[in-house]
Amino acid sequence: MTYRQDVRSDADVGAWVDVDLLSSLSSFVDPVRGYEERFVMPTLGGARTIATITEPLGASRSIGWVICHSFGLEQVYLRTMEAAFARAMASAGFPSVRIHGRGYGDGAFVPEGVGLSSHVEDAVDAVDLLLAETGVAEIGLAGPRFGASVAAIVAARRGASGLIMWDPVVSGKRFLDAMQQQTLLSSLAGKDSAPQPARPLSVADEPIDLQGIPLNDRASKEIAALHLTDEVASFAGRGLVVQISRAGEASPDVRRLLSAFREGGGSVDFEHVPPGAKQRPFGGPSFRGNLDGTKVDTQRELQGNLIERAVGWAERSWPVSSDTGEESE
Amino acid sequence: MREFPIYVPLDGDHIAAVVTVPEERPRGMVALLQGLGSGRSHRYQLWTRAAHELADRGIASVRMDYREMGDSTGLISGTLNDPPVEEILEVIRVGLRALDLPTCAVVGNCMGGRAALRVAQELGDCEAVGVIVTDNPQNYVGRAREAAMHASKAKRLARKIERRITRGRRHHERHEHIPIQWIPEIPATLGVHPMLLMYVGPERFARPLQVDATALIRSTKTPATMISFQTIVADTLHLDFPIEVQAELLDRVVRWLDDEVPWRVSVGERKQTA
Repeated sequence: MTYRQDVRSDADVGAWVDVDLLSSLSSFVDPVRGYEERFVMPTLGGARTIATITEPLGASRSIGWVICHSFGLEQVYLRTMEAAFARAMASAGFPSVRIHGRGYGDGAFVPEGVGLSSHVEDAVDAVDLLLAETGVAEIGLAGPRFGASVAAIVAARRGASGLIMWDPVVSGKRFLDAMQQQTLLSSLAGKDSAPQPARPLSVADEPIDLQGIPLNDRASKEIAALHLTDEVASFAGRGLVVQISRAGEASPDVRRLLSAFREGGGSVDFEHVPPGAKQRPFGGPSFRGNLDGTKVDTQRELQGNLIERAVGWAERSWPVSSDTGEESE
Repeated sequence: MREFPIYVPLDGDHIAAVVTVPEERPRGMVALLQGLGSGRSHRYQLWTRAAHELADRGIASVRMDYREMGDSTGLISGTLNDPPVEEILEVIRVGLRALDLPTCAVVGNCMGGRAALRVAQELGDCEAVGVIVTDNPQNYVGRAREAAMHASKAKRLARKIERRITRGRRHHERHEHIPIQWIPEIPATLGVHPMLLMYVGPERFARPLQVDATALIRSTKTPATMISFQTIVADTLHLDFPIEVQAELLDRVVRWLDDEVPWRVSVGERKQTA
C-alpha cells in the first residue's frame, strides 16, 4: 500500500504553537457518567493515526474492548455509534479503544483503497494499543457490520475473551454486491446521460469506485472471498450476535455463523432488534432532511437499543463482585 | 506537519477537533467545515487530506466534529438554516489562540458552507470564505424562502421571494431556467471577504448556476479578485463524490487557499520581519 507515512511527525513546533494549551485539551472527564476519554496518536498497520481511549473513572473490569469500524461509507455513518458505545461501556466499567484505520477518518490516505487485510492488521495493532494503554488482562472486540466480521477474525486469531457483533457481514461477496448496487443507484440520481453498467469486480485492474471509495482488485477479491463461518472456529470466548430484523429469528447466514462459533467451542448468544418504522438500513445515512432545514437522526433509537443490549450483555458476562468491587467468574 | 487532536469544552459538552500545523510558522489558518452527518474528516477523508496538503504549503487548519457527531459529546444543535456557529467559533478561537493568529479563513460544504458564511460574518475580518455547493441549486430556492421566513420583515420578504419564485417558475416553463434565489449570506458576503463559490454536480445544473452567479457578481460589482466561481461537473448528486471528483475538489480548494487567498496576516508578519 502507498500512503504518506511521514505526514505526521513529532516536529518541534513549540516556537509558534502553544503546545501546552493543545496538550491540555487532549482529554476530558465526564464525572456524571463516570468516564475519561483521551486522544492518542498510535502507529497502526505501519501508519500514524488518531485513536481514542475511553476508561471508567472507577475500577475497571478485567476485560477491555477494541471497537472495529465498518467498511467504506458505513464507517462514516456508524462512527457516532462507536463513540456512544465506548462511553456507555466505560460507564459500566469497561475500557475501550476506537480507531481510524488506514483509509478512514484521521488515518493515512491510501489512494488504491483498503481491504479486509488492512482492517484486520489495524485491529490487531489496536489490541496491542489497548493492552499497553489500559493494562487490561483480557481483550474483547466489537464492531458493526463489516467491523463485526473484522472483530470476529481478530478475536479468533488473538484468543480474545469477548466478542460483540452487530448485524455482521457473513458473506463478503453479498456485501460487495450490495455496495455496487448502491453505487449505481447513487450515480443514477445525477446522471445527465444513460448510466453505464457497473464494472465487474473480477476484471478491475485499477481501483474501482464504490460510492467514492477506492477498491483495488486484490482487496475486492479478498473481501469477496470472505466466508465468516470459516474464520471463527478457533474463537473460544463469549460472544454476542445482534441481528437487526423484523423477524424474531436468526437469518440463515447468522444461523450458520452461530453454528460455526458453537462447533469451535465459543459460547455465543443471539439477540434480535427490530428496525424502526421509517429507518434507513443500519450502516446507511443516519439523517433524513425535513423541509424546514432540520435533519432527523433516524438511527439514534436503533443504535441506542443496540448499545444497551451489548452493554447489558457484557455486564452480565463479566459481573463485578459486590463485596470486593472486582470481577467474579 | 504535526497534528493535535483536542476536545474543546463548551457549555458542558466537548467538541472534538484536530489542529494541523506545518513544520514552519503558518501563513494562516483555515477552518474546514463539513455538512451535517459527517465527521471531522468529512467523507472520503477530504478534510484530513486537505489539512495535510495545506500543511505542506505552510497553512494550518482545524477540522471538527459537530455536537453528537464523531467524537464530540452533546446533542446536535445545528440545522441547514441555522448552522452550529457557536461551537465552530469556539473551536476556531482555540486554534487561533494556540497559533497566536488574529483571524482565519473558513471553507465548508452543504451546511458547513452556510456555517462558513455565518462564521465569516461573526469573525468580521475573516481572511477568506469558501462555499462548496453540492446540491441541486434549485433546492436553494426553498432554503432561501425558509430563511426569509425567519428574517426580520419576514412576511414582506417572503412575499417578495414567493413572487420571484413564481416568476421563476413561469420563466422556467418558457426557458427552462429558474433564477437562483441565493441563500442570503452569499450576496451579503460578496465583496466583503475573498470568496470561493464552487458547485459540484451535474452539468444541467452547472450552466444555470454559472449564469446566475455571473449576474450576481455583476450586480454586486464584486471585484474579480474577491470572487472565484468554479464548477466541477460530476454525474452525481449530493455528496457521493466519485474518486476523480474528490481529487479535483481537493486540488482546487487547496490551490485557492494557497494561491489566491492573500493571507493578510502573513503579509503583515513579513513586513514586520523586514
